[in-house]
Amino acid sequence: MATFEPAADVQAVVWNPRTAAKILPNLRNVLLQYDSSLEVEKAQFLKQLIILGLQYTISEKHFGNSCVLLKRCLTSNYFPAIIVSILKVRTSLNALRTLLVVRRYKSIPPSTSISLPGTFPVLGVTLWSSECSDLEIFRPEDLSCHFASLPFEYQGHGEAKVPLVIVISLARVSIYSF
Amino acid sequence: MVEIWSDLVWISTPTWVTPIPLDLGSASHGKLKADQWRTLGIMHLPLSLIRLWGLRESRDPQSQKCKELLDVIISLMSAVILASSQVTSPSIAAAYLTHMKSYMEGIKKLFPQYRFHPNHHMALHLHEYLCRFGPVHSWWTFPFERIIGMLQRIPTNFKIGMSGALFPCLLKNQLIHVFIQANWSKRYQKALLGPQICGPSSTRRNSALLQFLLVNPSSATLLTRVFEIH
Repeated sequence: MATFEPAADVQAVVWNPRTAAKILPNLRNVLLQYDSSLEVEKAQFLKQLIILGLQYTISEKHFGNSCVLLKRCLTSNYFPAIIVSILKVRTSLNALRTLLVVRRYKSIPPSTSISLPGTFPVLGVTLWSSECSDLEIFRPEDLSCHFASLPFEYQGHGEAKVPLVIVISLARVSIYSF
Repeated sequence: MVEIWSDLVWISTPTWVTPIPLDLGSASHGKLKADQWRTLGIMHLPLSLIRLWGLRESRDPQSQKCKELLDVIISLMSAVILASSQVTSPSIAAAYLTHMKSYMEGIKKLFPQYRFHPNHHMALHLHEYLCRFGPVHSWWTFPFERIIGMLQRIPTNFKIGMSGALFPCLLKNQLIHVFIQANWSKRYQKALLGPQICGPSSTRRNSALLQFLLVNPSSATLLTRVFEIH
């Protein structure tokens, strides 16, 4: 399971004021919602983060490398998300924090008559709507692994087409307990 | 197969995943490597087959058979994932055995005429090895496969018995060519030969390596060292 080691990525632990850029108002609001102490105006926008040798990038750079499974706390389930931005901010206490701005895939609409035929605990296959939610902030420690995905359109009997995505976990070590 | 080809185009994976040829099944891409088969089996095929066979509720016998086949495939893929995990434990080994048995039982039920191969029998013993020796990465024989691949790519005249002093030298020289051409960065050369004899030109690198071989006559030592470093 991936754990964030700041030493693994020099880019993530060095503050360079020259490359810091102004944070857009909507993103600042998201940051404040996440942590009210994050009242920052500027941030460094990183294009990638290397954790345990794996490259996590923003979706603009490489879509496949931006697809990640996240987990907010130990008790919750993993959910797929796309990394939109990687921020490095300097807090009021002069500490550096690296944060991920992500959009997670929404759950399948309840009106859709579709579900996976069984559970695939080892493969880690799940089904999601291909629509993404609003921006959210996560820590690099919340990252679990990459995922592979297949987007497609599903049409049930007498139903409208629904854009869906099948997600498969790429954890090289099983993220499910045995 | 057309559906799987169209899915292969749409499947997105990170850059560290071994790429799969999009024209899968055609002769143009040559034989798939073991890692490509594994990637295809544990990522691309489950995604595509679940979309094709797993989502539609139908009671016709064809769909039912497809779903049963999907279950069997998923059992096999689960066993492969558990067996090739970088961490193992008695519970993972037990789960592997369960999935492998389920796969073989499913095959027996769906295809009663099918005759199992010795590899199937061997696969049922793998859980013992996982418990005894740990994750397969530390004891599988893919490094030897790589050496075989290197040897296969060496051009020969298919004449056996070209022995004496010349042939070992030629073989060594060819091996050096292969090492240099196959992802062998300067870092490894430096680690092996020291920085003073690593120049930019491939000729210098070749001669430096040859010199190393002549000083250390056992080529097995070089191979071992190269693979230790690599």
